[in-house]
Amino acid sequence: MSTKLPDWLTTSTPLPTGHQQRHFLAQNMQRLERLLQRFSQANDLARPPLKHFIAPQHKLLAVLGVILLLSLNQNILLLWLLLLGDLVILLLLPPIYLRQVLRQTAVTGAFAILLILPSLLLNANVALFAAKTLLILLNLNYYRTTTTFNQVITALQQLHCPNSVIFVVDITLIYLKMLGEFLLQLLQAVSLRTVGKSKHPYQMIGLLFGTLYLKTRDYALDLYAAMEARGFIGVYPAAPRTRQRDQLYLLLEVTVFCFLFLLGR
Amino acid sequence: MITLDQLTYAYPSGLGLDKINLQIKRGEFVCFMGPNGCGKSTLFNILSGLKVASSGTYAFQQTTIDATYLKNAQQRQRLHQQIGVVFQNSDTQLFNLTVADEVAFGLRQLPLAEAEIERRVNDCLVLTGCRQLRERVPYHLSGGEKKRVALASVLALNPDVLILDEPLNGLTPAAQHEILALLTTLQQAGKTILIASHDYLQIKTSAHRFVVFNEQHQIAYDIDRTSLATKPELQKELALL
Ligand SMILES: Nc1ncnc2c1ncn2[C@@H]1O[C@H](COP(=O)(O)OP(=O)(O)O)[C@@H](O)[C@H]1O
Ligand SMILES: [Mg+2]
Repeated sequence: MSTKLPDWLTTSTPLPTGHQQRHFLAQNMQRLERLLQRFSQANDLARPPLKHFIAPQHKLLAVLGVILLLSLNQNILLLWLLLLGDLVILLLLPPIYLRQVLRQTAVTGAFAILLILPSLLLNANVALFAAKTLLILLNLNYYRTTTTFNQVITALQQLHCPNSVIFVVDITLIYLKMLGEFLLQLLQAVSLRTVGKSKHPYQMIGLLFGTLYLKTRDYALDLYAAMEARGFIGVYPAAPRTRQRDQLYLLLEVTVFCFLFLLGR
Repeated sequence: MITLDQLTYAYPSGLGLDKINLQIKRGEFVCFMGPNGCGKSTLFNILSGLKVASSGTYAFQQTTIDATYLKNAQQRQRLHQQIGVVFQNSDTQLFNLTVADEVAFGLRQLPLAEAEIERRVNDCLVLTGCRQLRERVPYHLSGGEKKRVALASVLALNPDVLILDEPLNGLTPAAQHEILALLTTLQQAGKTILIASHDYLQIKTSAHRFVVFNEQHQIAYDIDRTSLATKPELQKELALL
């Protein structure tokens, strides 16, 4: 290491600035940055956990059941009944969750309605379709908001998914957050060294994703090695004991499903 | 040069910084210390314009840096040129295909002649001891080499302020010494150096001022080297951080 500084480094004359126009990449970078920031903070939100609620596998079955019913049936009474049921379940939620479910449904629902708006004006039957879509979105958002990643794993396990499938889901979930944070820092590094106009913005996208790919591969290999080192042999531990309340809920679920299915025919 | 007034930053999960008051003059060499999670990286993110304070103000060269200021691309880019940052994790700071491209990345965005760019890249690689790495892929370098390349690529833009987040972690004592020697030379040439470190014994002869955070994200001590020399108990406390 030489410690004799070159002349240009000892003066503080500012560099000539490049073209100032904001290009496509910079704009998208900020958008992506905000998105990722929200994503990487989503897990840190201070909310009371919903531990002793409905068992995750039954919740999953219920959501799938509702989607099935809605796609197979044309009965309007059925829609009202399902909506009633959903409202009851929603009212049991703590307000923080309730607000989030409703907000997400409003946002995703608005998009969906916007998409089918033209046909909505032409054809009355589409109104039924729109109502169904909203109900499905409501149920999906309910599931998404009230279920942690770990509970999704438990649900898959309880429904006797093969271990290899669970493993893939598990790994993906674990390092989605890590990769999101890595990409965020990468974008921040780029923005800190963006002092003018980039001559090849598309080339830079390539460089970023190349780096991300290399990191992904290393993460996956490291993660598997670390899990093996801690005694992981590809089998997930036995599921927690099912509670009586969960059994009752399952019975209720099946009865309601059959009833609604027959009603809708 | 840098003035923070009652600056607070809150993450959704809790505080990152709590009512920080701080003044830093041009040419200072300041070391930020404190337990993990006390807010050093958060402070650096605010100083470099990556984050905006939740309340309180941050002024750089008498200009208030806030969301409106940073929205203007020209102003933001000027701030980025004047404040260079070496991240705690250099993995995320290197994304080009060769070390030479990495160092030239910022320079290539400016209306500079190719010969001038080449000269600066060379100078920076020599200064940081990376000349033999020129054509290597940054991703596959060792941790210490990555740190040096990151430093070289930041120096290339000739920033007035150099921020280094725990740059000594993972380096051999000899490499730590070389980096600190280079930082001292830069400081003598008029640069302002802000560094976060846990290694009081290694850094005590380089830094002129120590700003120590407590676990509540506030400043516990802000003390210069001469006053610190008269307080052996505080020195012991810092050595244990
Ligand atoms: N992205 C983030 N989301 C939520 N909290 C964060 C985030 N980054 C840091 N924090 C919190 O802010 C505080 C300060 O962190 P940081 O500035 O990284 O500390 P240091 O660099 O001194 O170790 C810590 O309590 C940390 O948990
Ligand atoms: Mg830190």
